[in-house]
Amino acid sequence: MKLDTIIFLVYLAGLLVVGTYFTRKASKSVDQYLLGGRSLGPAVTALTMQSSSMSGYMFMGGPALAFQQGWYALWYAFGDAGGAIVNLSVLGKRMRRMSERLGALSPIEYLEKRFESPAIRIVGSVISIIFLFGYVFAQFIASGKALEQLTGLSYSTALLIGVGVIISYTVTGGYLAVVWTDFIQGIIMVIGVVGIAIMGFIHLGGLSGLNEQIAAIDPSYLSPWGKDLAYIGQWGVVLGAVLIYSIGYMGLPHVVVRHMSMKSTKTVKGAILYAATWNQLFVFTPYLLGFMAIVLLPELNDPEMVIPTLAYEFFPGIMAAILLSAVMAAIMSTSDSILMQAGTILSRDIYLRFIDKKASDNKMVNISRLCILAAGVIGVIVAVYQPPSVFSLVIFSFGVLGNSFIVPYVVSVYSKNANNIGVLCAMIFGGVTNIFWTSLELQEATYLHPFLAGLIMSVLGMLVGNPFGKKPAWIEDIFPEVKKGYSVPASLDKKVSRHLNLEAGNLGKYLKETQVGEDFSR
Amino acid sequence: MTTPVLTSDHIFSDEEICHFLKQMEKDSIFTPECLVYYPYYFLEYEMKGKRWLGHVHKKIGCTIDSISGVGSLIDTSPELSEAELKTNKVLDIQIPLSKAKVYGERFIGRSISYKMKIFRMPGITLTKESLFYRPYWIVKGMKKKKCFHLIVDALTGEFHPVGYK
Repeated sequence: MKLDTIIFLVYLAGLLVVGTYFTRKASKSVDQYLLGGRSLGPAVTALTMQSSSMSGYMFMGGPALAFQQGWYALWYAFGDAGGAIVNLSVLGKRMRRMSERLGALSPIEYLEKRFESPAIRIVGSVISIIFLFGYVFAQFIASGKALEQLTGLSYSTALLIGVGVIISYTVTGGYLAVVWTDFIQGIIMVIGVVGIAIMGFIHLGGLSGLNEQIAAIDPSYLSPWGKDLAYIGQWGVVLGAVLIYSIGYMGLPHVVVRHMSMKSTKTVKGAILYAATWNQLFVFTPYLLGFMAIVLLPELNDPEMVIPTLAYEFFPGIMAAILLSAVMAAIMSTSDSILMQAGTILSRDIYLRFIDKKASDNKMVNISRLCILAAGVIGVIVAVYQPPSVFSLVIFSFGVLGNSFIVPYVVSVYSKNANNIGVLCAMIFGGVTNIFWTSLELQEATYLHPFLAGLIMSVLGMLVGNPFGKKPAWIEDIFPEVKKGYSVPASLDKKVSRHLNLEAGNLGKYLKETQVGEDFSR
Repeated sequence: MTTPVLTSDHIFSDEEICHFLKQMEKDSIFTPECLVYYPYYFLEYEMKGKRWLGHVHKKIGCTIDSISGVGSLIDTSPELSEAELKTNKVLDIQIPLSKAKVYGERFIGRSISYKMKIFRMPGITLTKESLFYRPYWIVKGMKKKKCFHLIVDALTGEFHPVGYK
């Protein structure tokens, strides 16, 4: 067996030990596991969120774009650097307050309850499942490539093993303390990537040296308009590239769900700070490695192998294998959360809600696991027979999800006049536009990025459809509270424990009826 | 008139609660109004099943809100003792135990299937059941002539605004 394979297996075993240790330390019952990181602070929450949502794309897609297009790739990085901050700032507090009032558990159920429309739940669920699958397929392809490098097996075999490991991990992972293992992996990935970048800069004479050598190969790499100035003057493409990651996170169901589960709005503020710091450290580095590869790896056949190849170049042996193992494990973790989300949407939001309202828990688990298995089978077929690049698959899936859901989620907390028909039109117009724009390659003809086109159409859909719908009658009553928080001083509002919402309502009614507050003695 | 109930003894006093709130919000004046008792069912289950690496044999517990029927997972069994409380300080239950058991089993099942990585649902058996009352302080706050009310969990100090005026 190749040494790197052994390191990878040891690494996975190490994660298992760490996971088991933290779980046992936390509790002897399963409650702590099910309560899912309730006691974790904003730092671990933010770093885990970032590290687990960036793996496949950041290690393969981003550097590949930089390797192919030069500094143009940074438009995507600029958006990504601010994405988490925009997402948490725009939706964070308001969505937490709104979901508390609605009592919604999943992001799709949230939309249905907010706009009182089962049709929104059906359309939203179908879009989510299909494009979360697309998003996870990109992770599958990345896992195949990472394992291919680690084990020396063929891509197809490595892919089969990779997907098999991911699916097994998702359905039988038991009590693995995912949060802590994600956190440790995040740290290893940052150290590894920054380490490679430092070695690269030393080798190339710093940023100036890198630019000089890139200019000597082809000066257009240094242009913000792409190699050979392919996108010169195409502001519609550049704006789309910046927007997709700066606002796109607001349309991802598995990211938005975190706003709904935050303990208090105070957590939002802390998470913004940590996420911002993490992003500045991490987001730009993989792209810089792509630039370095233009000089250091001019003969590289597969642009997506920039980081694995550079890792072996600068840190041959154990270090490179550890870094690649961390990448592979992070891909597993990202895939796991997306697959679980897709399985839950199918079982809860479609099957239980519309097909069999009395479905047993066993049946629900089976439906969810079948969904995950289907993702694995289709994913392998796609990745073996017609593998798209990780970059294009992530951009496509991310774009369609963003175009379908950004407008609905934003208006759900910013407009009391938004209604069911407006939101349904926004979802369909936005998503369908992105699908057509990408499939028919309309960007070349219109100079408009598919994401920007989808966003414009989604806003138009909202404006066109809204006059034909009806807003919920109760929205006027709760909207001021969602906008400004409770009628208590701001310092208290941040620390309100949302899980006491029902008790507060019932106690309020009781006190009103009995006037027990007049009698203060116990 | 009093009624015997199961509740928790070790609670924060009204002074402690107001001091705690004052630390967070210095410009407000807090006045405790009353202590009321909110009903919950405590249900504990034994969970048995097979996993990839051996068997699962654990305990899992939840509370069911006896007024609205909503479930909540709990970390540890509540420490309860009997007490005589004034009837007008105790909220009436609106959900009978038989219904709460159905809600509890469904809630635990959903929690496991939603959050645990399992291949098959483990079997769950009810091992403990009880009705208990959790104390909440009703506290009136006043800031610049604006009045607001909070319910404060007398065991943890967690709070939530209440629309009572």
